[in-house]
Amino acid sequence: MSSARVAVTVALGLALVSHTAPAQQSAAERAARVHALQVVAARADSVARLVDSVLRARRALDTVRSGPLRVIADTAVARKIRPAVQEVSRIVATRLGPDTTLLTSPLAVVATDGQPLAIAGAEVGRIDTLEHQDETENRVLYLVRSALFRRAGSAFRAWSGGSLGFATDGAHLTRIAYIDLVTAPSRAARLCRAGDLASCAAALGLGPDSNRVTRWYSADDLRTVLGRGTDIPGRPMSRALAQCEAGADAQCFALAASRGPGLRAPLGASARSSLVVLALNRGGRGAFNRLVADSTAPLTARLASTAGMPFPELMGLWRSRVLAAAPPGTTGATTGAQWTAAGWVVVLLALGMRSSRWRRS
Amino acid sequence: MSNAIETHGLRYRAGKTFEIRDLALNVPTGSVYGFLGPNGSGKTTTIRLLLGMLRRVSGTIRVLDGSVPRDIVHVLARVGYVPERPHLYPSLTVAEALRFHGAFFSRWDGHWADELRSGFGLDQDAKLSRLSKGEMGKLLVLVALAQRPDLLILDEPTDGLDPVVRRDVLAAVLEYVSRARATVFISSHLVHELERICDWVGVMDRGQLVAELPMQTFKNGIKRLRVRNAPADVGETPFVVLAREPGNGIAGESWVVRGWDASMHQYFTAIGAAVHAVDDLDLEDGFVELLRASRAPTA
Amino acid sequence: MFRQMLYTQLKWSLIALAALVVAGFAIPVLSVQQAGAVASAGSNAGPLLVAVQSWGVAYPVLAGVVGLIAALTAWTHDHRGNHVYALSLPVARWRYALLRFVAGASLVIPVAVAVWIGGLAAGSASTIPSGLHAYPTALALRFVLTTLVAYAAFFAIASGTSRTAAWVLGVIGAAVVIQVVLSAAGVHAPFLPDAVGRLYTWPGPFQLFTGRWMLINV
Repeated sequence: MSSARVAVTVALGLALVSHTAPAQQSAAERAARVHALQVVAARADSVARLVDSVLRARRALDTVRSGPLRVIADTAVARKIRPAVQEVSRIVATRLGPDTTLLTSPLAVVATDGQPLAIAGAEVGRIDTLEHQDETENRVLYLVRSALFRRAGSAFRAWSGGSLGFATDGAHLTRIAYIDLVTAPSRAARLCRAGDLASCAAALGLGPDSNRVTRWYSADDLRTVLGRGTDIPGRPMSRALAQCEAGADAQCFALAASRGPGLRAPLGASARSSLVVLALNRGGRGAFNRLVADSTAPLTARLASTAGMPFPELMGLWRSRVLAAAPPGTTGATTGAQWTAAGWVVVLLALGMRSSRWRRS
Repeated sequence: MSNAIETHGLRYRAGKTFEIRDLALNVPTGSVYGFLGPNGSGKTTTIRLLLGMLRRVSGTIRVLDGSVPRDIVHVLARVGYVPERPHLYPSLTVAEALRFHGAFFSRWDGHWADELRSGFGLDQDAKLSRLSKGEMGKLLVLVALAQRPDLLILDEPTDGLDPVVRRDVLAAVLEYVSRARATVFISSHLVHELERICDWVGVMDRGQLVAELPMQTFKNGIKRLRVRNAPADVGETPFVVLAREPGNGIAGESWVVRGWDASMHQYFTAIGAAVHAVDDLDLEDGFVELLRASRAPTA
Repeated sequence: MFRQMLYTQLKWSLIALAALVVAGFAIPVLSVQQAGAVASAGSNAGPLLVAVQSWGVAYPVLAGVVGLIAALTAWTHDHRGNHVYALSLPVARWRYALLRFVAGASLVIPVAVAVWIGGLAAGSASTIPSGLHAYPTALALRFVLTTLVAYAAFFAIASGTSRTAAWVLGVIGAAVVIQVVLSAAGVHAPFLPDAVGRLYTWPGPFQLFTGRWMLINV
């Protein structure tokens, strides 16, 4: 075997190892990984340059490079989006670590000023020219998130129902999850609130598919869930639904089962996103890599691997975080705020009572 | 004799032009004190100082043995005040106004208030904003009297009222005063009106009290003298010379004096002059001469 | 004395008070009616809560209006007469102001009661999804405190003399001018917006105005 081949083989091997390396590494291992990543980055660059050269004949294009990101765009647009790409690159490196799978293949987000552009072998996303830096950043970030999201696999996409939201306010998602958890007409949600972690997983749509309807909903729950959106004027209710609403529990379950994937899990996309964000945050460095490493593995195992903890522990942590996200006051006014207001009434009254006796003649 | 109202060295300033200087009021208890003065002389301002509505610059104010403004609450409880302009809430009815006012005065006599109201012919359901000037004038006096005050302070109470209403108002005041032995402090520029009812008079002009004396003395004490052969410089006189105007030869000079007494003919004899006529001045003429004298530049 | 004060202030504000009482009752009822329409369309609790919250701005607005009207009613008639009548009454100035304040504050109560009754009626008449609850009492309590703060602030301003008002306006005007000059000169010193912001955050006087006003909540 020639020395060049040995070098390439070692490099590829290191690149492969980078996907599965555990979070804790020695200094030497880290240095080796960095070298491997640089090789991979160089390969991504060359692909991008190839694309550039192919297309430059037809369009004036530029490539914006920053960290793990490569963005191809019309020249004028490239100038505008360069700061946004740099900021997004910083966010990606901060939140997901520099060794994300972005480096294994080029991520070419195509920006265009109205004219679509397709490039073989690259992720394609469209950015219209936008006025404000914030909007441009958000748009680039959205496209990067969408590209990362696609790498997570179809099973994950089907379950999550939305984007990863790694740049989204996790606290906001948790608050929405709280509202979902306490208001969802679902047996699983009620049991989850009571402390049953398996029910929490079920309510989030995780776990085995068998008997999911009965795990998620009671008959009364189904009467609420199935009846939503069915009272369309002029359109008669289906016989099965009518029987369900009349009290035939078996009809309710049969109708629910017949909906198949159309029957959604009790807790919505925001609640599921809150779990993913929690797992990514707890997992630390390399968490995203672990999430997308094996798209065929069960979601519970992937989430546990992402978080770096057993799944029941992750579920328990999620439940406690969600319950703690209850709104501070039912009417937005804490006891302290009310007492402060009462104090101000007294202060202002005292000012009013100092109304002067002396007036002008 | 104690005073219902006493001020010493009272000073007040409003803006750059108007000032009350060294006001020394002494209103005897039980008297009907007429506070005379032309418009803008400071009568209303003085009253507001007495009632603690304006802050004095210096000096002292005592009303009914209470110091103003320190004891103002106790003072006002015993003072019936009729202001120059109506001060009651115009959106109330007569009955409501009486109830509101009565709630603040422990001595309020509701029965007498009703008697006065029907005596004055005031409809209890009439809104104050709908009352005529005369009706409002009567209501203001009614409200002040029904408090059973020890001191009535009336600021131009009959100004703008027709003679019949004026008579009714003053009659009610005098009747109360005679029964209750209250003190009345009444300010007006209607000299004839005060002449009939007041036993003391104070004359205000340009923020100063130019005279304060019993009404009889004021009326009787101001005379117009026809004087012949009086020297230019007469030196000290036993009376106050308010004005001295040259005559037309035969009639001689016209002297307006205050504090005249018949025995003072001897003074003129002593200076080689002769008084050939002594004319009484009515209160209004006397008031005018007094003001003219106070405004004359000092030599 | 107080009874007469209350009587006069009630007489002066009767029509406005009646309208405000109706508004106080109507707001919670209407908020739930709209929320009910959202719920029946098949939405889950999130949009339902948003629908209820969208009516939330009506409560602090109503509180401000009630406070303003009550304060103006307390002082307008005295201002018109230059306070001659009030100052001629045998009651200390501070006590007179206190009587006026309490009389005006009493007029706030009917509106708060209307909000409470409206909330009770709305909560009992509508089908609230499980997990959500109606909080008419807490809402009414917050409303009455907010209204009292607004009333006390307007009362204190209205009780001042013209000179005091001129001073206050002068200070505010000077602050605005200084802020404008600084901004024009490119100096970043937003002291005026910061100061205004402090009024609406804890422990400022108007913090209860901000935030969510939710008759129905988790």
